[in-house]
Amino acid sequence: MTYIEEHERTRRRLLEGEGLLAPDGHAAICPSCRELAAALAAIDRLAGDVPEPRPGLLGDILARTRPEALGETARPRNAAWAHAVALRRRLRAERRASGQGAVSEDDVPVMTPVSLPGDLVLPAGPVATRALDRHEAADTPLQDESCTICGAAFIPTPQSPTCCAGCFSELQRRQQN
Amino acid sequence: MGRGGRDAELAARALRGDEEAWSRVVELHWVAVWRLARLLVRDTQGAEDVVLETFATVRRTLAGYRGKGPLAGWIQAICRGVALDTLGRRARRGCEQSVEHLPGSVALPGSIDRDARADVERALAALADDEREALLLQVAGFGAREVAELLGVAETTIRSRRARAREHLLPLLEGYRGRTR
Repeated sequence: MTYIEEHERTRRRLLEGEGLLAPDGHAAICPSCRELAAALAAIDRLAGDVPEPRPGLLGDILARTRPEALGETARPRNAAWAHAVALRRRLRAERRASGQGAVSEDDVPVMTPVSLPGDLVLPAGPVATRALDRHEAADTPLQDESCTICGAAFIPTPQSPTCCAGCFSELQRRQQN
Repeated sequence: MGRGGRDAELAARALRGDEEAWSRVVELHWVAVWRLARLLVRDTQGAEDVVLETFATVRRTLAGYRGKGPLAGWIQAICRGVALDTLGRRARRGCEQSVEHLPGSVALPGSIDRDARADVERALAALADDEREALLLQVAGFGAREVAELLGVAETTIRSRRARAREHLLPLLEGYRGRTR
């Protein structure tokens, strides 16, 4: 192998990150390769030099990995879900404040794919409501509003004024007429 | 009992709900996880998110640790995955990684001043994503073969990416060579 070939091979190896700590025989005698090795080592040091962690981070980790905290983070995240949960809380608080008690199990609000768009896909009907209830263990199902078409218990949103796709079609049909 | 045995015992205790054992796991590994996350993600807030997500994942999947290797390696592998996911999401969103202006309360290593770090971050941010990833994983201590397996590409591809990354960084960082020796 010629000197030039050896030089190119060494340069290539250095750039690939091989042999930075132990440059081969060529690097020992080639000023250009020695300089390159030193420059690359400096780059690695610069890139690898990170600040110390914030002292409070340890406490944050421990707090966020408690079993109950992990249960919180496992909840599905979705704008409609958050809206529904917030609404239920508000309604529950209002119901309690007014002295009204819990309603029957049959009165659970119905959540459907129409009312829960986005990444959370749930089948229509009470199944979705039960899924919501599992995450809201302390919730008592409430009937506070209803579908404008069929009258079923339902929490409408601006995006989802009806309880299901069928009622939504009916609403559109009525609006067109 | 060897290190693997101690790790397995600690993990088993944490898995059974022993909060003291879990705290010990976190205390033993959080700094190393931080370093890897910060190294790969390149900003403090992003690194903290990666650390929190890493330990949440570790706790949720602790049953998957069989004690065959060091717990540190297992946790670092999870951290590496979370960090790469984070970088992937950033790339998909097309958001440009901002050069971080570190707040005064963050202690910088004595050898590198703030301007130097900002220059390093700018230079790294100027690299192609795949080149930066290959370089930083090497700086974090992962071999070309390991990275290749992780990313599902050929080992020679990783070597080429590293070489291109270094070639791009060389002129950008020439001025700091002497200051870091």
